[in-house]
Amino acid sequence: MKKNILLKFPAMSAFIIALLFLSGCQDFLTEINPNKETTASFWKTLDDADQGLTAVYNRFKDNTMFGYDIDNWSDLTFPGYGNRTATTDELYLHTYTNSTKTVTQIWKALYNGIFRANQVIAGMNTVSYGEAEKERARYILGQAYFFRGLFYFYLYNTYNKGSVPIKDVNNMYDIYVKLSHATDVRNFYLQDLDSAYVMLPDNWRSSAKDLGRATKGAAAAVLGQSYLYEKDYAKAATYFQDVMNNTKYGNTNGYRLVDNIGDNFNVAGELNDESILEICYSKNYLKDKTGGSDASVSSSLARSIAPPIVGGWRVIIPAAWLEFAFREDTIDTTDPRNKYPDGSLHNFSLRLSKSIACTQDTTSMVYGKKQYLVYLFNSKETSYYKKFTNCETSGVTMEDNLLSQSGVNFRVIRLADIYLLYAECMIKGGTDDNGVNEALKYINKVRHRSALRLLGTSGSGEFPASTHDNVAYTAQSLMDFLKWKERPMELCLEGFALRHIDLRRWGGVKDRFELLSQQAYGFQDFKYKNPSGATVTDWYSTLIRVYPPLPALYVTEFAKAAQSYNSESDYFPIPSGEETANPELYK
Amino acid sequence: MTKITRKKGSRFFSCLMLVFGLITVFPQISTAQNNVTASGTIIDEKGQPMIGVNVSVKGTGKGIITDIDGKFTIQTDAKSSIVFSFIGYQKQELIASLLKNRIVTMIEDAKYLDEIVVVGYGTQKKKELTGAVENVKGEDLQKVSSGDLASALQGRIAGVNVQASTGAPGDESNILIRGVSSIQGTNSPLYIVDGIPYDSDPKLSPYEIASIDVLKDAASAAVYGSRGANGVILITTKQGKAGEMKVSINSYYGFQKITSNLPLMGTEDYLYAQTILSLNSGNTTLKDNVFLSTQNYTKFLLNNTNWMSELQVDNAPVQSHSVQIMGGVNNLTYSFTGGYFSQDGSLINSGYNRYNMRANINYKKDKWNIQTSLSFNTDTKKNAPWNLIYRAIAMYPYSQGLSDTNLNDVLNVASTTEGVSVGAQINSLKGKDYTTTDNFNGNVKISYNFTNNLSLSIMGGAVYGNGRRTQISPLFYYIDNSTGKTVQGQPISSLSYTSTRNVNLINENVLNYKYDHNDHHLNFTGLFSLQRTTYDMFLASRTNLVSNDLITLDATTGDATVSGNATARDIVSTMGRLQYNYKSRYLFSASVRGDASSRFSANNRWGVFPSFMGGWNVSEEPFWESMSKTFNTLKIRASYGETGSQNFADYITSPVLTTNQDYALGKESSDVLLVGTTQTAFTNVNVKWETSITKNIGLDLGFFKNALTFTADYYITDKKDMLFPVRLPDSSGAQSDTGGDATVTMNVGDMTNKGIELSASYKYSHRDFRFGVSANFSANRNVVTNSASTTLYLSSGAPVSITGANDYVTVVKEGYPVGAFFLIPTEGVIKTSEQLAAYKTATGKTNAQLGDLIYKDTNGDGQITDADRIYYGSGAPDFEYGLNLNIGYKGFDLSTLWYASLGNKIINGTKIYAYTMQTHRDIAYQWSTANPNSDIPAARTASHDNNRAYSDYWIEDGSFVRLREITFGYTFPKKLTKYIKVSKFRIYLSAQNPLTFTRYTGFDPEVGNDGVGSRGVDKGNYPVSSQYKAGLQLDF
Repeated sequence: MKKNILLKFPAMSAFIIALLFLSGCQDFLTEINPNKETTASFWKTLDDADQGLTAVYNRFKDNTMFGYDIDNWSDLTFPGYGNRTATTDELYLHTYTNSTKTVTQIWKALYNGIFRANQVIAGMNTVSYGEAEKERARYILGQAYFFRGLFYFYLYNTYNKGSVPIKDVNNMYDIYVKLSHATDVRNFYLQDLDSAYVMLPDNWRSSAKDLGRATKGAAAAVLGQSYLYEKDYAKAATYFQDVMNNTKYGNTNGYRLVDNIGDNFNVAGELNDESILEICYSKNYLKDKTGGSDASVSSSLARSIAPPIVGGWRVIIPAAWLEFAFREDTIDTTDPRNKYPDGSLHNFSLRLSKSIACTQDTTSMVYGKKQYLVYLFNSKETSYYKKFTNCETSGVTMEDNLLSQSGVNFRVIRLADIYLLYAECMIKGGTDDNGVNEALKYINKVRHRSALRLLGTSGSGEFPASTHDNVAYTAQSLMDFLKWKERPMELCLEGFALRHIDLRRWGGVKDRFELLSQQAYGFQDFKYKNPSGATVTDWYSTLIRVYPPLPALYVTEFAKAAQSYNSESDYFPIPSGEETANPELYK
Repeated sequence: MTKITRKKGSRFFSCLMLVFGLITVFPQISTAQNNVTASGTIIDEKGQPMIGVNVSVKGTGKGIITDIDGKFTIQTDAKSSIVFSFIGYQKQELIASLLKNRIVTMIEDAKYLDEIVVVGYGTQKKKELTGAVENVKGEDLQKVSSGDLASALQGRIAGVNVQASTGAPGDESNILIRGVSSIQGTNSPLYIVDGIPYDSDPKLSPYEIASIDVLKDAASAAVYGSRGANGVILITTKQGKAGEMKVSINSYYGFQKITSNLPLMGTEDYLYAQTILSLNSGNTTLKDNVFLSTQNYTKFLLNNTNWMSELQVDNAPVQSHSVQIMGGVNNLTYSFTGGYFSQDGSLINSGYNRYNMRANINYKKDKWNIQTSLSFNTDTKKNAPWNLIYRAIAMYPYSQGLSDTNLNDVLNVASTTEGVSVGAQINSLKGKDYTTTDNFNGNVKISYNFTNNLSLSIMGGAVYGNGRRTQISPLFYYIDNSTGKTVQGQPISSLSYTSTRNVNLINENVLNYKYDHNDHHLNFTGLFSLQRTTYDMFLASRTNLVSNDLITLDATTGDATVSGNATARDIVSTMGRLQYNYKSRYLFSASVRGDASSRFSANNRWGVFPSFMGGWNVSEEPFWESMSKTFNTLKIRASYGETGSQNFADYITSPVLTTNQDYALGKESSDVLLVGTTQTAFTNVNVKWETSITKNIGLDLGFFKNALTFTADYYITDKKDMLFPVRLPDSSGAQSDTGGDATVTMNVGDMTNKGIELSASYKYSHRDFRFGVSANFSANRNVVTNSASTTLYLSSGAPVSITGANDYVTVVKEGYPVGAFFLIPTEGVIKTSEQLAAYKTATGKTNAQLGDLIYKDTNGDGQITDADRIYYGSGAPDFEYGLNLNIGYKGFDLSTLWYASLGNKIINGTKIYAYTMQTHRDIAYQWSTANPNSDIPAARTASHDNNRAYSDYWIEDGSFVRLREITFGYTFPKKLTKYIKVSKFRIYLSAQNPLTFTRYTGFDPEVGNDGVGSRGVDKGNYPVSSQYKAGLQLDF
């Protein structure tokens, strides 16, 4: 019977066979991705939201954002290789364009962070939780707002005079967003930070495992910074006062300066009482991942900064003027902290010894040995940064971890920064002499912590017994001291483009580079005895100032930056990748 | 997941078993026997014995072929008819009982077009063909030695554009059939080997191949539906014929001569250029202040290393050996091929070798026909280190050459930076990276003829590919002279294995119904098929080798990394086709195919692809009779067909989460790891089929018994809803897994390919002289007719992506070819301060300096932006030519194959990089105050205007004419070889690519790369070489 049908109606039989298979193999065509979970099953519980939030923190730890690159945009550094003479670093030379890698990468990293924060904010609408978890939910949302606000704050301060696209939802079908006015960008991030300020907890004291998350104090600090950047001194001061005085903040009883400034750059002092916002790195986990990569939780910064002799790359070294500023920063000779047990005085300040390494700082120890025995300064590399390297950590002998892993946390905002910004508020950026005394109080708190000679008339202020420089400061002269001495020395390499933003908002960047470029520097050899008693010479390793007639070998710095700087250089341009891929950008 | 797989797999096989079951229930019919022995000799019109003539018993499928002397002997029923057939000759039929040592003369058939052509799911007489299908014989493919099948097709077929993707041995060439078919993916055609589809080159040896048929038009390819959008290449492997066992041996050995180079500076020039660069960087006006690395380690001034020659291997050998055994008895025929091919690369550490084996066995009995094919090949591809040529460019000529370096020696380097560079170089030179792949493929096709008219065939096939890539970074040490320390070289020594497994299971069921009534011929084909393709991979690697001699994971001590993933996709297809012709005069064919693919979301899953074709054999009309002596063939063809494409990655329709986005909270001493998960990329749920519609008209002409033939085709292909990975702006926040640009696949835009293809051939022979020439010409114009966005920059279109500005140069823009180059014109170099001042005012480039390139503000808006880019052609040629010439006299034969590509442009990315790294020889002649008339821009930092890839400074004409192959051979007379039982003994000398005429200054004008975004973008491609070889052919 079947055979007959087949013979007579071949087409029909083919059709029947086909139908048979189609119904029989219905599910044959459904393939589910075996490699990754789909979003459909996510954003259901607060645990999901927490994982999404962790991904935001993961972006926050990005070494491209908080790396060394962006410091070359300021006056703090020389891009290591080339021995203070030749470099092709486009940020340093101020010849960067809209396709320079740093310009592109930071833009990408910030918007990645925003994309992730947006997911948490949107996801909080779909997660369900009980009454008991309401507070946890509020904290999660508060942190997401905080980071989105922070990332836009950074974009606003570094790109295109603050005019950037605002993405507040992730919509695949509305992918092209045009530039917003700078004011709108500012209002947008202020709103986020305000929300964060309201929602975030004062501290995480009750839950030790959460230590290191964003807090209300951090939101206040960023809000204060943002008002100060707009020269709204009164409003900024209100937020800074909140940060400085609120006893609910910090680990115990409000923020306070830690005794040893070095505890702000090392592993031992992580998340201390001075810390307001800090990126946590760890080398205890994910040891197979290269530091600084998305999948790792460690940092590659230490290896980038440390000198070659300990396995680092010294991609940046301190600018010559900064090395001199540190070396010439006067110490309080009466302060016992500046004395060795035998009563002799330190060559240099405690702050110098914790921040940078230079030849004549003969007593500092790194990696458990005398600094000059380890670092072998040579050939015009007269100083290295020590901040955020592991040179103080016991057990670490070199930064030569093959996967560039370092656990040293990166300090984004700490109380000393806020004290100095508050001082700036008090003198209204150098225009109000009435605030000088209040400003001096906070500057001297910072200086006293490092046993430095204090500013102002002798016997005045909070520490009358300490040595003062006995200078009667005006608002202007004090502001200059903040600009060219105190802030760069205290805070170099910290925060996000901190120095560049400072220079830009203060103005006169070109003058600054021109001034710096007029000073020439020469080199002397440094001789010392090695452990076996032989005399060793580090050639051209001590920086000296030289004046015309100049010696055969000398260097200047920032000449090219002075030449190529223009007001356009105040901000990064919109990256070319964005321009070519976003047809709505300029509409 | 395992559970799902098992369920799917079992379902697949239960479907299969059902089909097998269907035909096994039908009874077998046996026939009666009354045997006689028929024998004789077959000669041609000139009286020469003919070898290989098919002698078969009518209606039984039983048959043999004539031997070397044209003789045959066959046992059969006395009453049966014996049929003699041979391609190009008229078929003859004689009663078996009359054949006793009889001489049979074969008459040449004027209708050469009776040649059989393989079309999808069947064969057709060339005369009755309505589509654009071209055939290449296996012998022609064998003339070009290559590990890659496609490259042997270059220049042979009009409309089939073949470009070597990199030139590295074992790399697959790009085949474009009738222009760009898809913006996304590789545009690779579908390969069908004896009915089994392959998505990429099936890696056959040319000696396994009997013939290749290329389906160029969509109407012919439409029977493959979604699979046929890029054209279809049908490969038929060699099948045995009943008769005496035939053995052939083919062997050649040759070497490869490097014919291209890149001019780099020597030490002296380099230091001079560095001094200028340093002074231009505004350090100081004092010469003494220029710091050069050689100051630290002056010994380097003694070195003058040519890094290009450090990395190249001249006279690398190439060889191939193959053995073939074919034959059969009665109902059973067999063919066995075994081969070995090996080619060393022209760059260090590259090379390819392959062992092939194939066994084809056919069994015919009564109504049954069983064909099985088993093949196995194993190949090893040694990969030249990634970006090797870039590395050669980035090295300083004063660094010590490394080719003689022993890994156990401790090297000296001047600085840490140089140590890094040397490390990368050591890794390239002494590291190993090779992939070994074992491919097994087997298929069984069982056909049953219910009647003479109705048959069903069921095919089951499986292709298994197991690959393993081994990467070894060796262990070595160097002394850093800037610090005096001995350090372990970077990258850290490591061993990495990547294991992959591909499985492709297919079942195809074809029902065929033939109906012949008087002069009406009808043929119906119905198809149902299932295909499942799975892929999985895992990687295991570990750092710190104990020694360079111990290469196992157990012999490593460092950190281990593992990862893995899997994909699967399924396709279900049905197809019906009706072919009809009246007296072979009026031809008509229509088909419709439905495909469903698991790649789409459920709503967009099915695609339906129809086709229609018609033809008119004018020369078959009675009125033509008078002309047929001279003008014997005239055929007009027309077709319309649709095909589809699903050329995108699996699973892209559903948004997924990325894990491992972690964070460690807390102080170092007491920190906790938080697990982070987030979506990192966008997906498009609404992706649907990309369709292409081709209209084709064609003309076939034949003169003088087809000694002269001519074919012309004109086509228009419209692509609708093109699938395209749209590059997302960074402000979208999306990331790509690979760290490149984030993209999302969308159906954006339409485009059109219009083209013309002409081919002609002429054959002449007189006594001992033979002459043949065939030529082809094709022109294709590709235009984007509708694009979702004004200008889309293709993400693979950055000529230099490892440093510098990373500009994109290829775009998708309405009114231009896809992958068109858009660049900003430049007008020389700023040489005077007046020019400088004028340039600054005109463009607002206040940082401009003397020696900078002058960019033209084409839109007059007072600044230089992407809006100033203008069209500069594309990497696709305007015209392509192929010319094949054969001459023979007695035992001598000479053949040449020429290929020409005209009008293609190339962006010389290698040059950009060499400029950026300041090692190109031009840099010695750069503009400077000491050389104020130079038109070579001054060397500047990486992303400076002078090094931007979007300037027209780098674009060059990539046209070339190449002598692809020339062979001179001699076949010893049969009279001599007969005594050693050898039927054919031929020796030959051959050269491949001995001549290339081009104005392109880079390595090779044949810049294929993968996909349209990088077509014509020379990203440091492989150097071209010519091959010279000697070979022999032996049949017995």
